[in-house]
Amino acid sequence: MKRLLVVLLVVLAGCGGGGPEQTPTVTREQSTVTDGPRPGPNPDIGPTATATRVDADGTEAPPGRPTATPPPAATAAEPTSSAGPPAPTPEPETGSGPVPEASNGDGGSSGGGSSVDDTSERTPAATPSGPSVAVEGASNTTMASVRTT
Amino acid sequence: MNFGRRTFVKGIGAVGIAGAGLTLASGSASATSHVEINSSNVSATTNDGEVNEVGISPQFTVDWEGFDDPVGKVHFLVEAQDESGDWWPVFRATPWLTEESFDGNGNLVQAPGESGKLTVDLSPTAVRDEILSRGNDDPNIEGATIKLFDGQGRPDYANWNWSNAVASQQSYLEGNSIGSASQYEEGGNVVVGHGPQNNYPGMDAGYYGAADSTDVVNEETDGETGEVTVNLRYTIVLLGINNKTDGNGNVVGGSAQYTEYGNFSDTTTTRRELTTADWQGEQSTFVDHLNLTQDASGNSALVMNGEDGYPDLTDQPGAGSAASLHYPSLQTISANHPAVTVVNSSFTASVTNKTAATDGVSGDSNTTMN
Repeated sequence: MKRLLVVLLVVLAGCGGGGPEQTPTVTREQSTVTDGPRPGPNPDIGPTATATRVDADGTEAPPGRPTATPPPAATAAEPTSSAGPPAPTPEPETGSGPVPEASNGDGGSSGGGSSVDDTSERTPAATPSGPSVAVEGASNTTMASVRTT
Repeated sequence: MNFGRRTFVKGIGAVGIAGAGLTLASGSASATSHVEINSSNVSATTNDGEVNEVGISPQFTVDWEGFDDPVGKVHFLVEAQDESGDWWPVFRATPWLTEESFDGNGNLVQAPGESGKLTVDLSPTAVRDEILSRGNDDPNIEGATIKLFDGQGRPDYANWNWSNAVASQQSYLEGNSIGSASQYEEGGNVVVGHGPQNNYPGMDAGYYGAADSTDVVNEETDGETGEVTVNLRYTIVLLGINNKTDGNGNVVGGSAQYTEYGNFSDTTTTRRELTTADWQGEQSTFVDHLNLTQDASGNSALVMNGEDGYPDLTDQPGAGSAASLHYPSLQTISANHPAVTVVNSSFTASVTNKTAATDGVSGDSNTTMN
């Protein structure tokens, strides 16, 4: 029994070591979740906003947000995904096409390797643009009194 | 329930945020668009600390783009909070959009379509018959400010003769079923007591009264200044094109036609929702190509209702169809539906009760001695 436990621990340690092959996975994941278009029930990305999120190199990144590799802390969190295969498992449908499912992604908190995407396929042309409405005006408030000073 | 003045100020202040031009918006579309209706602070100094009216004359523009179906009407509702913080409708209207039109300065004021625009001008001096009643208004009806608080206060809705109206009190106040504005004229068979102050029967628009009386802003104490935060809420709904009625509101039977789309012999007018080839010259051809968005009864329905993953209005318990104007339901889905935008705006109303004082006495006795 103890031997089995030792073997199991060794195996787990080998899987959860944050091997170099997992770093690209995290990088892509962050790019996808943070910057991805959010069509569907919560389409708070209109055509204008989408345009401002397109960098010169074709990748999408909101102003002020990092486009580089995420901090090492993200890598350290990888053991939570040890149950899944460490190799990238692209799911192109998460990044292309007007899928109505709203990810509501605001920072990649979903974790795991299931959100992996290939950012190179996320061209601006593929970005869905939802309908948008702008309202601007004034109430023009008034206060009236018959007897004033 | 009566609230003391201090309680009111405190309570409302906790709900709203004082300040001119404050606007809060909900609606998914507004997250990426400019959504703002400013409301400036107002103040007055009177001898008795009383004012007769607090009102608004809204002017705003709604621009939209990227909808799957053309917008043919824009419904808007204006609400204000009363002394206890409850919201009350004070005005509503549903302008129909025809072909593109411009003001005297060449500015586009309305355009239907998947992308379009509507400029609403409710200022008393504006010519608003075209927008609000499609030219069927009484030219003798002049515009007026929309009263939020006035001397009469909110109509006594609970005691109206609702059996004579097409609506119940609930459906009237929540928007589901209203009827014509002419039903709610003072002296008619529905209204008991004073009528809705913001009703314009000649324009077939308005329907409602003030949210409360000016008692909520009046300052009773000599030498004191009372300050109240007034909260407004605008709900703007984009509706599709229907072909149910003609210009007089009558149902058009048989091959119903969308007769509100202007002069079809005018081939120079742009109709955004169709290509020129679709409509040019022939009304029948034009109608054939209209992308109608209506419910089973032929009423204009919410555009993109339940489409592309957006909420379905009929899932809300108070909305009977996609054409429902049930205010609570529309406001509920506004957070996730681009065709419904809610804009909150606040302003401060200050009233100073001028201190009574004798500024001195001067004169001459003009004494005499004979």
